[in-house]
Amino acid sequence: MSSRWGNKAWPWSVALVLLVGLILLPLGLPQFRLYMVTLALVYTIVAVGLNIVMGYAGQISIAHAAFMGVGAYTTALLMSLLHWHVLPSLLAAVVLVTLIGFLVGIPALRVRGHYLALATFAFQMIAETVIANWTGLTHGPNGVKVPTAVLGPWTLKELPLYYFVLLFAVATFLFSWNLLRSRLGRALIAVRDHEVAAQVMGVNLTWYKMLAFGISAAYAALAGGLFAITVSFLDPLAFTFWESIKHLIMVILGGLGTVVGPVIGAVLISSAPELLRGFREHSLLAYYAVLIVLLIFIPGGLLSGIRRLAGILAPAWIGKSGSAVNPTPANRVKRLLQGYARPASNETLLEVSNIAIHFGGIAALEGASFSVAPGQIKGLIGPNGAGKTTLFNVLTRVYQPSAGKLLFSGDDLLGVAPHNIVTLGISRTFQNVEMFSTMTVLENVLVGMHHTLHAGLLASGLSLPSQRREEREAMRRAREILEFLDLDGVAGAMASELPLGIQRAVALARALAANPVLLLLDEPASGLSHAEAGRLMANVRAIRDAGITVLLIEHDMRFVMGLCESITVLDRGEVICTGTPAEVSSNPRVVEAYLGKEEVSHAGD
Amino acid sequence: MLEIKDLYVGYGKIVAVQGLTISVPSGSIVALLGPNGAGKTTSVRAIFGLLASSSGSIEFRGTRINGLSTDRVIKKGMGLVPQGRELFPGLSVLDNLLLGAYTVSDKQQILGALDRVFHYFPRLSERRKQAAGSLSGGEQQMLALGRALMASPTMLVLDEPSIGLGPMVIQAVFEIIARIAREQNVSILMAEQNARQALRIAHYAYVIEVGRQVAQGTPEKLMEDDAIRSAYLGTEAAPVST
Repeated sequence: MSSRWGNKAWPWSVALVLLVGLILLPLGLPQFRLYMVTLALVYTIVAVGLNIVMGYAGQISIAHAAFMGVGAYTTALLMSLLHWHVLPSLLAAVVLVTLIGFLVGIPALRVRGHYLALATFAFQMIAETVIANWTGLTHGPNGVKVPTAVLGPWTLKELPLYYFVLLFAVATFLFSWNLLRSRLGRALIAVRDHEVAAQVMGVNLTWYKMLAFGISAAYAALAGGLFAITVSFLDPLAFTFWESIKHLIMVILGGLGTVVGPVIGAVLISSAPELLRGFREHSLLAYYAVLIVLLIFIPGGLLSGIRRLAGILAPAWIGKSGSAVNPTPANRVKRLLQGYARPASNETLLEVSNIAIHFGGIAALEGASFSVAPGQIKGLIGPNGAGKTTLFNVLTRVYQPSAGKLLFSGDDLLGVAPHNIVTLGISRTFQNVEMFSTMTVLENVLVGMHHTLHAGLLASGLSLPSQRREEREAMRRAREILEFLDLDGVAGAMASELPLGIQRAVALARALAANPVLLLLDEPASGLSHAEAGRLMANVRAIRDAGITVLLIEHDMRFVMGLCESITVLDRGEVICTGTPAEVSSNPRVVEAYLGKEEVSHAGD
Repeated sequence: MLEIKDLYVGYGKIVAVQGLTISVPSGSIVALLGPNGAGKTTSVRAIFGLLASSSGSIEFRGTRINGLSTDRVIKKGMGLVPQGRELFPGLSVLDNLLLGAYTVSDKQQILGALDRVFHYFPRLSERRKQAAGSLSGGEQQMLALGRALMASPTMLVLDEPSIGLGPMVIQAVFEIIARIAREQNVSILMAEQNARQALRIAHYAYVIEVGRQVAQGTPEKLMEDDAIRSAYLGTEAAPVST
């Protein structure tokens, strides 16, 4: 579907060949080589898991060696002290570390970027210290001997161990692969690309960041447990800070945010010492020299280098859009949107009363009040800095007002969590478009549908039939919306590479995909030519005729005056006038504050 | 002043600008009009070396500037006011302006330029200590213009100067652009969606669509063209509803 997953549909034949290759690989390998290959598989699990938190969700973790260590020691100690079977020991390790992962994710709610990285670093150091010094349990530097695991008729050593690890590596890889193609994966990437936009689409930022840490920690714990069984002797040096850095290198070198990249990175980095043995005492030097060269010449990771060779990175939109040769017939549009529209019953859909908000002593809104009737196209105009966008941000709970009330269909919006605004039926576009920049147009629209889809973690990771059905239906509807807005030609293009005016249309598609009752449009015609603005006017009318109420901010007076039934004018945070276009454009205060004499004479052409 | 001949610019295999030929005479205002995706921003980026052109020539004051790095183009006397303004939002108005004079080392010249900018935009002088990000949209556009003027360019290229601005502010911004061109003898090339306003101050205009040049002429001549009028000026469409 998109270049993130390599070719359009990774052919099953390729996957099959790879799998058969992996099954046949160990036959005939000497024992030491087999051990190295098994360890490489263990590292792919860590790297694929780290990529979920770093690549997908965009949160930095330098604690994965600690997660792995706790998983390894838990597995080893349960097996040696309590004589547990290998499978329940692994499970217990995964459960424990997942919980720890959630806890480490908690700072992610408050701190970001470098601060979060430091918080995970602190956890790494604590875990390291505990492992090295809790001698009663871990024997500190003396280490722990791991009993040989037995599974049914097999003793998990050499070949059976390889297949045991391979099974987990393949399963966890597929889980991550499926996850990325699900609503959860899209939500995680949306969080990474643009937090506010993700939240407005109904993504609970807190929950998704913690989820990413939890899943990622579970992967590391599993890898730790398998590591313990493979190496059969644990000591604290295997899980130091430097190991965490090595995990980062695997993911970044392979290709951050891709599914396959981390696997390539893990295999290369874990086998590098072996590959560079010819350099003898200079091998470490050679290792880092190669690393620098690779990072300079293939900054997007090895996978992107491979793709660039395949030449599929050229933007595909040019000359494909904006023609509107076959505009969707109005009656079809009505059916398209109506099927999902939720009727508004109240006489007033939105009631804004006395909203005030201040930024560092400067009042952006000072007691603004107005209302929007259901089925209306309402305009919000006023000079730059009048507080229009601030009002949208208050409505979608991006900002907290210091005073005032917001009623939507009788519900008090100020008591609603930001990510739940869209479930009530309010969706919006942004003045600066705010595309999810690493996603295609189609994926952006699918994120818009986030709150209307329901697949959970297991359904997504295992790609259950219910989830696939839901995805197919979502994809179909997304394509319908794109077609309606004449964007079907750019569905597969990276949204951020499109010209600004086309990005605006994508933003509208994304907001429509959320099945809004009330649609908020922030300067939808900005940067559109006259003909494009005319098409947009027709589309907005079709959207309203399908039962969706529209509140829009716009400076293009022809657009506003030609489209809106009612207009509210803001100036310096206060409403100075509300009325029909004719009333507003003849109001002397509006002319003085905003329109200017010239514009009025033109609007009357 | 600026002569572009048969310019082709592409991304990978796709050609976004196909055979652009425009001329900006000294001291004149030239508008580059066209819908989204026509290649206006791509052309602007090519002039400043932000994108490589695949063929054709760009000459500025008689010397070829294709292939020059952006800083060299700026040092030759060109100023850019990019789409979306691209200010440094956390820096003060004054610091934003001083960064505009980054290529100038003569202190007197910088002070002179600063005086000139504050002369045209007294608002910026009032707000010189305020963070650029806290300015209103119109003030930010003025700051972007002022920043470009700080290096005392002989030519300014403006990408969508009217975007996101209220009607009165647009008029004010365009009036100042016209004054700067007239009084400072700065040549101006502006890519603009708002054809009506742009043609009001332009001496000459080019219309491009999907990378190709489709029309050119003086504002008077373009206004007479029915196809241009309906696509870009819309004098008969969009009546005020009652």
